[in-house]
Amino acid sequence: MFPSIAGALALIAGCAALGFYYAAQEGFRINDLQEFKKALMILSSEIEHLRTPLPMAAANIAKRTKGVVRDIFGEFAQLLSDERNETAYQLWAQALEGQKKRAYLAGEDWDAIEGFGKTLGYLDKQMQQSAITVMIDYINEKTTTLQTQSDKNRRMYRSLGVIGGLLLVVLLW
Amino acid sequence: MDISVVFQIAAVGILVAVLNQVLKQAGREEQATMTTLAGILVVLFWVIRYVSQLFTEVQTVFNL
Repeated sequence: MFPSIAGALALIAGCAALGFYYAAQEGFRINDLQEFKKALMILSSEIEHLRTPLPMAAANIAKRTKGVVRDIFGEFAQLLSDERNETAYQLWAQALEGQKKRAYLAGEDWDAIEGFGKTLGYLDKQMQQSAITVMIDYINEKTTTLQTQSDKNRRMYRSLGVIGGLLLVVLLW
Repeated sequence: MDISVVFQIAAVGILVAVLNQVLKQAGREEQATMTTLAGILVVLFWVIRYVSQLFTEVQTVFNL
């Protein structure tokens, strides 16, 4: 009797943990987007006021951000300073490729971020600023949508985890 | 007939009803319907042998 009760409790705990993990995922995505927005704002001020070259600007951003965004800009700065015979966009895409599995960003976010890389390093100051503004607008809009959705979804995933665990226990008993 | 099956069916009924409500409140009507359908199928799978047993009994009683 005891092993079956322990097994049932483990199953419920496992399913509940899975539910809580899925509930937290949207929050992680919002955090990643906010961190990327912070990086863009730093990049904007580096371009506008300090006129820092791109490798140095990327390195500065990597120092002032955290998580996956820090790693993206850190790798991008490294690739830029290696002076390879590739465009900034190709190096940006390479830097993103290494981090895609680690981040909680969705496919549409990656598309927007990758598209933003096309404007890096060769347009004039004004064009780069407008590309940054477009990207920040995208992040703001996405964050607002996600925040309204996430409350409902969070409750749903948590309940689904716990109830799914209980259902499995009843089915296997 | 094992009485525990009745309790199991009751538990599945309650849990599927709660799941249904949770999914409906989250605006996922399609998944809610699928969950209910899955619950019905599971319970049918459990009771099918008892139904079959009942029909055999009826046949025996009335000598059909």
